[in-house]
Amino acid sequence: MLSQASISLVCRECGKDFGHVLAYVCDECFGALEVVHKVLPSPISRNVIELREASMWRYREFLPIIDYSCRVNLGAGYTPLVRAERLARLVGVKELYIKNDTLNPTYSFKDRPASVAISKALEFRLSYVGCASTGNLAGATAAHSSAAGLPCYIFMPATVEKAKIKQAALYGAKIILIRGTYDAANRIASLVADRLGVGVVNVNLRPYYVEGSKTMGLEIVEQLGWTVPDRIIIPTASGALLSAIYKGLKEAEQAGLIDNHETAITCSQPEGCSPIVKAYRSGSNLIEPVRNPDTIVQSLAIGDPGDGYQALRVLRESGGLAVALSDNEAIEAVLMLASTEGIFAEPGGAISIAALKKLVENGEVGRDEKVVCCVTGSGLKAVELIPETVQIRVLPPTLEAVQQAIVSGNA
Amino acid sequence: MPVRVKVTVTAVLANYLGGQREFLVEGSTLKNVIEELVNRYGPEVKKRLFDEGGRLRRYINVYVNDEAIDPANLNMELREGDEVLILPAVSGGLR
Repeated sequence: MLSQASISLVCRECGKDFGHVLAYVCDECFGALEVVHKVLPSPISRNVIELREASMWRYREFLPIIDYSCRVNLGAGYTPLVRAERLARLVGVKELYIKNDTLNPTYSFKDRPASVAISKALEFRLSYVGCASTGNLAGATAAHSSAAGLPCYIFMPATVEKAKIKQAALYGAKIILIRGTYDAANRIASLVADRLGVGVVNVNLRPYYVEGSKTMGLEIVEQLGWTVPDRIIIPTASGALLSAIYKGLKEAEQAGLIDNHETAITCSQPEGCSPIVKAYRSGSNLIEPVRNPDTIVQSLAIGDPGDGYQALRVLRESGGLAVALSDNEAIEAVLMLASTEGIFAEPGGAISIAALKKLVENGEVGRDEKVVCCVTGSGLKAVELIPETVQIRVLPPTLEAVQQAIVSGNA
Repeated sequence: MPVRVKVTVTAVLANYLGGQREFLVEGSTLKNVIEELVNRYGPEVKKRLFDEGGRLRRYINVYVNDEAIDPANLNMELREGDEVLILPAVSGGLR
């Protein structure tokens, strides 16, 4: 357990230290606040971590929870890191691993930040919680708030996949669909947080919320035997996951769990909403918001990325790359991942595979690299986006008909 | 022609605006309206909204009738009854 003095919110821009409070914006310069662990227990024994529960909470020293009795734990994290040999051969890279975050309690990586944020909501004794969501965070926030016994309000664009809306509603959350983009939903959520005191996990609880995603980076290095890969490719919307994975690696280094890492952090976005890729590729320090995202990859359709500048800094500092993929490339990646490795992801989750394929083809990623692709959300919640690729036949229940179909290759 | 618009802010900015979150302000352009707020509440507000070069800070978003406004377009004309929202963007970090 951490003591109150061991974590602080600090402004990323001017460095003002706010202590352990519920805030997200600097009152001096409006910069974003982030959690700084003043005392990272160093060194932490690898053995101690390895003996702990198989969830993200095995890295509790890295998570900003002070009162452990407030922890809301549905078992998020410690998802499999799968060696993907068949897919590696297909895309032409030596060593490829899939971080399979479709296997979380609500089937996306969002359970990691939601678990931390709802725990903090209990710690700060908030009466209501909520989120702005492109779909996956809705389910994660709703599930964790139901386990915490907190009423939950979800703000999302009306265009989100039906399964994601239904899932969040089933956990008991109040769903507020907004006629507009994710950015409009986010704006309303910000005003609700401000006026009604709702703990919106990705607005006023955001500095704590993003810490949960560090655990994906920590797990990758632990599952690789406390070594780092050459590259981690990350599906990117707000830039928070990408930044958090990098922060996780940095903190693992500071805690003596890994040697100095030189992992190239790599960003993948859909072409119709790729503000971070555009800024990176054009060498610009300015992220131009995309006013009207034009992509079927709903889960990555954030036009004004909250952690865009932080992500851009990470890409440059780590010697990473950024690449945009068409909707078709994202869907092809879903099919490729499912048919070679048995993992069914949504297009926004498998886009990291499409990115790897493209970067190997154009020579930006070497074939001798050891690569981890983060696969962040399950395809079952986005089946409506996947076209029918094969005709499925209905046959009479006779051996003759079935045998004929198998022999002729028409089954 | 100056018109009257409603300006809404959130807590962090309200701290420098006498704790108030909603204002009726007169001005003909978006820039005039923001300057009018600055005139009312002084240099502390100006320092927080604009950088040394007089540009709106990067992590502040301005909306007119729910449309996000390009910071290069602060000279846009407003109409009577327009609603202006000034929100901190959850962003920043490129030093």
